[in-house]
Amino acid sequence: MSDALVEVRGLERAFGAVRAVDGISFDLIRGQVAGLIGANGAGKTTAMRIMATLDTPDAGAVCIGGTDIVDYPTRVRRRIGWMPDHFTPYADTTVGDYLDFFGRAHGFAGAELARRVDEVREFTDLVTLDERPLRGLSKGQAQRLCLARTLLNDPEFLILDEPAAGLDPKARLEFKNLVRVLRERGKTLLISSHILSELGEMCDTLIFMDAGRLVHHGDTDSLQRRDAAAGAVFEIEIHGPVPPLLEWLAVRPGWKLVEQLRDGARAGFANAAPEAVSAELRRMSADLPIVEFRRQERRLEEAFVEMLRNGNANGENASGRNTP
Amino acid sequence: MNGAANETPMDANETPVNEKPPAFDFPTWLPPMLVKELRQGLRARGFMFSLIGLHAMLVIAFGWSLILQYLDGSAGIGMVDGFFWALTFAMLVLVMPLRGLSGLNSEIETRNVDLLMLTQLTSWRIVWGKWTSLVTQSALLLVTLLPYGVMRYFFGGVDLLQDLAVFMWLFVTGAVATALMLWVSGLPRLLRVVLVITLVVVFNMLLGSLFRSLMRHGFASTFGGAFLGGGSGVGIPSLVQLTWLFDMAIVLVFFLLQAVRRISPPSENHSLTTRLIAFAVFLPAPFLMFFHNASRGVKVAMEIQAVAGLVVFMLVCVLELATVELPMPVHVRRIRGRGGRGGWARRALCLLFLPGWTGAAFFTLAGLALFAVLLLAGAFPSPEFQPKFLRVLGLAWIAVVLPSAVMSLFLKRGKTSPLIVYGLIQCTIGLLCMFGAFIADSSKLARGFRDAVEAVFHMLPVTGFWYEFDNATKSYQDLSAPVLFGQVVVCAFSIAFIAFCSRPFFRACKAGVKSIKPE
Repeated sequence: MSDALVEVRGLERAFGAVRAVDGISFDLIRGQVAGLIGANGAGKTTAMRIMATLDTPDAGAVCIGGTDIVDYPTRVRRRIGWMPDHFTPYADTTVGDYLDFFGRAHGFAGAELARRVDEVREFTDLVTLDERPLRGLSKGQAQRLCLARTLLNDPEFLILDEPAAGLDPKARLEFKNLVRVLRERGKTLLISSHILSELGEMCDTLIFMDAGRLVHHGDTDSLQRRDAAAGAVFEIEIHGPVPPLLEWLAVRPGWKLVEQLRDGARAGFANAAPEAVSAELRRMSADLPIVEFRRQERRLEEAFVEMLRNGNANGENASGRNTP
Repeated sequence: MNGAANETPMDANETPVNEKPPAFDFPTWLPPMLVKELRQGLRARGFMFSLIGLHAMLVIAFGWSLILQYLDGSAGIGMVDGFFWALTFAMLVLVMPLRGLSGLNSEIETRNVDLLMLTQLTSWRIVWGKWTSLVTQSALLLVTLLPYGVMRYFFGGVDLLQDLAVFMWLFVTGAVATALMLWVSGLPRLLRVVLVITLVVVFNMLLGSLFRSLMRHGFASTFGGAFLGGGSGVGIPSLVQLTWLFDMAIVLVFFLLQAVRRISPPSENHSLTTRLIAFAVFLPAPFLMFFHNASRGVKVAMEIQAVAGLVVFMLVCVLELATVELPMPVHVRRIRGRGGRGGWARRALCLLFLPGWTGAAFFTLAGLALFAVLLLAGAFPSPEFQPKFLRVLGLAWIAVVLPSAVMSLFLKRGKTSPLIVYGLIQCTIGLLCMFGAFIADSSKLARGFRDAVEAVFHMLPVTGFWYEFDNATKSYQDLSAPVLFGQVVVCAFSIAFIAFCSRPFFRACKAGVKSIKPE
């Protein structure tokens, strides 16, 4: 039996001439936290809505726990939790009423209903807001309420669309903590965002989408490996005038000036392998008065943008079938 | 967030059991949607203002009439009879149902309906909950009116049974109107606006005079015995009343089903239930036919049934034909059953009940055939008219189906409301017919030209239907042989065109059959 809880195969969805999702395929293993990353309009929300049984694919299939989402949406819905990227409060409703209603809607009654509502209320720290009208909640409180509602039926697969959007730094930190706890409980999570650094810390695997297509599926290490093959950027500071450094970089094979700085330069070297970098540093130190030589950590966002720019020509990992 | 997040508060085994039973404002066995809507509805300003406004007006009116009675011995509470019924009518049939206009669109536009669909609530339970909540609020309003009814009984000398019967009818009418408003609330914005304007115009034309009559004369004088037992005793249900009730129940379910369709996932086949409703409305016909010689009341009931049946059937046909969806494999599988067994009967069911305009075309054909068989079995029309009658029915089928085929060529799912496009196509054809009729009747044009125009309009299937329908009751004048031949040729081409446009439907059916796993 496959370990994959979620199997996506050749998923397609078009809105008129726009192909919002264009044949993506990937698997998610039980207990995995996956990040779905892409620019606005990349097709993240459409793909997630299809997986949440809220939209129908034009082609392809999604199975959750072996159940097809189109054929048996009701069965699938019992196993998933969906948190959309927006929250529109009901009029004339309090936090307590809202959770009570969704608890009832999930089929709980009597003492069991009260217990479930109490649990999620505690888990998301909403106990003191029970009588608060929904329209009076802050963005962070509303997101916590959405998460509480999503957890009411204790789903095994959680789909969270831009959950951290609009949250202040403290609320973001708290959200990360919640994701960690959910992972520890064995939940499978799919979280979308266009902020890579956040997802890089939270997720076991990252799925990159662009123009409806899947352009990379793997962990952050695999992305950095791609990055290393493409070279690395170094920040070099020297004692004295900068021109000798610029001349040295111009004549040495493999080096390319990125930017001149006040006390040095930023330059790219074609081979990011440790032994090659070490040899270059030795040569540079022999020729120039080097004060500092620092490899610049590229942000995930930059790597992603470069990957898109390169057009993913080699198609590595693009099928998305490999799961780390 | 809570520090407790690091622990496992959601683990059932570690959570302490509540010692005292939890307290709820509504029992937990009540439908969740009803509870939610009641909580919201009873707190809403609309309900509060309606309730307070109604009672304020009635207290003033009743108080004033009692004072006048005391001062000059006038008619007393009987004076405000018209006002009382007009106000009750307005509240139960207009104001309360109108609150349903925000029922579904608020859920759809805010996408809260997605969250509801991911619970154990089905689309039917969501709509049912909203409807029962609105009707419950109407019932609450009605209950608060009972003291005025008692006052009228003691001071106004009215018939209590008659009052109760009227209350019941107003309540039932309001319930149907609420279901209609819920359906309208789920339609696209443009269609919603068009329908609301239409309803306002219809209300002005039909209900406006009724309302004015109620104000002046009161309920009993306005309706006579029609609603109140037809002279057979007030409050005793007659066959006509039972027929009315049955039809209202059917229409109510039909409206609710249309509302359900607005929010249900595409994997659910609501075409099946909607089309079954169209057949259900004819159910009392055999029963009534059995008693049709018994009394005039039965004949009236039959007439009501026939008209209601035709109206519902045509409405269902139009709604179903104005769709561009194609059947999904899951729809085919559910009708064909496990292993795809069932032979021709299940295949026929697929054609009749699968979603999409092609399925609706087969359904319309079956309905018209049934209609023709019933009328011909009853020797109507006379044998002399029967060929023309069958031709009119054939043209009617092409007239309603052809716009769907045209529409399917350029309209894609989720782009424009197919119902609006279908309506526009039919309106354009209607204008064309009027234009043709204008030319044919114009004495300023040459006779030959007018005849040619008329012949062309007779030959075209859609306009031809209207021409022949218009002349159906006139003396028997069949078409000339060339025009008849032209009509047959054009109709044959139309059917071929409909068949050509139906290919995606049959492809989808085939894919559905292929997806059936052998047992």
